[in-house]
Amino acid sequence: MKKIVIISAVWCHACLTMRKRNKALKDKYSDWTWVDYDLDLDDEIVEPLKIGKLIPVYIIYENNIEVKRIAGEMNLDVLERELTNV
Amino acid sequence: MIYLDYSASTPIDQRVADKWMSVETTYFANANSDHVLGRESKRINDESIRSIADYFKVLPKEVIITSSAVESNNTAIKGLALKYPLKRHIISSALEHASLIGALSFLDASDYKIETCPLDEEGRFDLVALDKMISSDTLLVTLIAVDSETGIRQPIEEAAKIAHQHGTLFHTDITQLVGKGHFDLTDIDMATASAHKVYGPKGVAVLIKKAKVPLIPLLHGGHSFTPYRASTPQNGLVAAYAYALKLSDLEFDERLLKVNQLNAYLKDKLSQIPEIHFNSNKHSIPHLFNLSIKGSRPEEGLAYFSNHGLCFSSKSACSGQEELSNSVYAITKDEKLAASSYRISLSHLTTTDELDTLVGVMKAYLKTL
Repeated sequence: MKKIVIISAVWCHACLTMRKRNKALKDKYSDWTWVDYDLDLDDEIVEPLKIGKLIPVYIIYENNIEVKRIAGEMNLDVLERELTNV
Repeated sequence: MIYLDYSASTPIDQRVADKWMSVETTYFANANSDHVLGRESKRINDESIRSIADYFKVLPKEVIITSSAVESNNTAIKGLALKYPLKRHIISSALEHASLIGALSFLDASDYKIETCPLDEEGRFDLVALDKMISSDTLLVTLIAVDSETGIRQPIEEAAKIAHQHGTLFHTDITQLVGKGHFDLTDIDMATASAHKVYGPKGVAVLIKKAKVPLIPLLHGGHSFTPYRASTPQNGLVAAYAYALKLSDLEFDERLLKVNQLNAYLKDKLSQIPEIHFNSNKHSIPHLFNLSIKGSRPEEGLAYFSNHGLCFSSKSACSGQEELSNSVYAITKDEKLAASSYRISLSHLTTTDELDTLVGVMKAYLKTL
């Protein structure tokens, strides 16, 4: 069972750019579990994840175990490749 | 302590602080109150609004007083979206202030299409591309007047004309330009500016909205300066803002000359250091000085400079892949330069002694790399 946690912020242009790419992949991989957290509003959840300064962050879980994390703005093909090849 | 972060905030001018206190203590009454002191407060407020309108060369009724540039940007973007819910396309840029990005992200979550106007090789908005991006569904073009990282003055007047050729409204954030450069709001429908970037107090800002532009207010309630933003009029703050703008106008040439001299002085000193690369270019206002220190990590560099009593900044914390500065990368096409940039902002209050200290500390820092 695959789960993608996305951490972003409303004030972040890279996050805004990635939102449509995220949506495209959410539609394509609708059998995955997708969870969005806001860096500021969900700080109690996000802080323990120690994500650093670069956002958006994608944390990939398989069977509830973190297997990979990536961050920053990237084109749709790269994002899809990063999320599928773990 | 040496302050070189005037683009983040300026110290309040003592004359402006005195004006603020004077009005706040003398004309403290609610300007909506129908008694002699309330009417006096209203008279003072009307004078302040008229003065602000004169500065921006607009009508008094086109001045909306807000609490911050953040509120002004949110009011412009969301207020227009509420008014025209059927138009769902907005064009903006990667250089915008976080509050503008925040308002756009809010709309994006409601199925708006937000597009980014690209930059040309000199870091300015690509107006040919902008012209092609605007469609009949475009609600608004919103582009910042000065890149807050590199200081590059953007062609907002020309961009506004292009938007109007398509029948599209145009908003700009001129917060970093007010008091530092000339501008013309003739073809601009809405403009955001803030007092604390022009030696005024924090807590007061403006949204210039031309009379023909309809807008749904975000704050509803009691009568204020305008129907577009309810709240008890902030008599002292608004008088102080008006005075700060007036001083910036009266002393414009003198202040600009001083900053131009300081910029040239600093550039001359730093150009002797081979590890330093200038990112600001011929389009930059002289108040902003963006440079990269090869091999430096801004997070560590800023800590070093701060420990040595120097206050300035770097790029925004959030800028995309590899922590590159969008602005610097657009100009240099060099990832290392874009990942090691610093922003020094100058003021007419800055001295050459302060800049000498800065250069000395930078040389010492380079030895630590």
